[in-house]
Amino acid sequence: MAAPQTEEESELVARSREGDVGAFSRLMQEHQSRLVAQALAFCGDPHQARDLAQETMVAAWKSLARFDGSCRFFTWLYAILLRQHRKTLGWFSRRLPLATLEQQAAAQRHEDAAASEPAVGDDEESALLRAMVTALPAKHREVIRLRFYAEASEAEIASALGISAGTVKSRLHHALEKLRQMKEKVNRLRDSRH
Amino acid sequence: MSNPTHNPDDNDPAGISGALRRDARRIGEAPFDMALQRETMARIREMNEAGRAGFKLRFASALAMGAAAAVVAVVASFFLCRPSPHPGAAPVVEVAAVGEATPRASVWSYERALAQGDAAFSEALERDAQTLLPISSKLPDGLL
Repeated sequence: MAAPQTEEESELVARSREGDVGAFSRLMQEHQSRLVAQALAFCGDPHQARDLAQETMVAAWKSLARFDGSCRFFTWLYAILLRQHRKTLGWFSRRLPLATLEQQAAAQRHEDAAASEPAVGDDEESALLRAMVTALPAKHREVIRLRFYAEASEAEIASALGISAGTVKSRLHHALEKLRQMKEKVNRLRDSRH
Repeated sequence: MSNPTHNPDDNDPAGISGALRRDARRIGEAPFDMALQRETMARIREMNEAGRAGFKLRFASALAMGAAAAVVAVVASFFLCRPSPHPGAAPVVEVAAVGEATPRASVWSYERALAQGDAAFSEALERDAQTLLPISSKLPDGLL
């Protein structure tokens, strides 16, 4: 479970909103490691993850006035990370054919093994799962990542994405259903090959 | 706020939700990257400086525009208010605006004066003319 927002963090957020760059720097120090790890889990490439994290932090500074404290700061930051990631993926993020999922997962495993840094998820199932999440439509991918990877509540997700709690619930339901269907298809593909 | 609300899909640890949770736990945290922190904060400070300089520039240009507009307004009002000289033209007859003076006589008072005779009527007319028309409205001798 992600730690709730502390008083110190609230204070840093308030000072940052007033334009205190030092306070924002401290705030980012707190969240940078987790942010980079999450970005790395999205894209698999350490350099891309670093750039993504930096763009997220800069975008957070620019739109700090819009943070109203109705969700944890990290949830809000994570929503920005998702938007930045969506931007970098562009049209490609919309759909990936299911047939490529296993190939993508295999490529991911290969890249992880080749990378000098230890892989974020070294498990085969983990790589497949991430590929499946990436293949989801953006609106479903966002709620899944916020709910399970940022450990945000439905209310927090609603606040961070600016949608209703009912919409979050419905999107979560559909996203999980799609993931289940994908998993079944991948399992069938695997069985047919063996 | 930090407590996730209950979702029926959360109750399948063996299913997709469980797999997602396990995967999320695997991610953990990356080592802190001091270079990334420095680069990011340098970018933000630079952005701030640029924003401040931009604000100063905008303020200065707005001030200059305001000053220029004020000068134009003063010059324009000076030329608009100045009487234009027309050499050779007939002297201007200034007439007082209607309503500046209150007419003393009424139709009834003129009728009464007329009943008293021509002299009384002329006197009434003369009195009102003096009230209504300022002294400057006297016509130059040559024009009469």
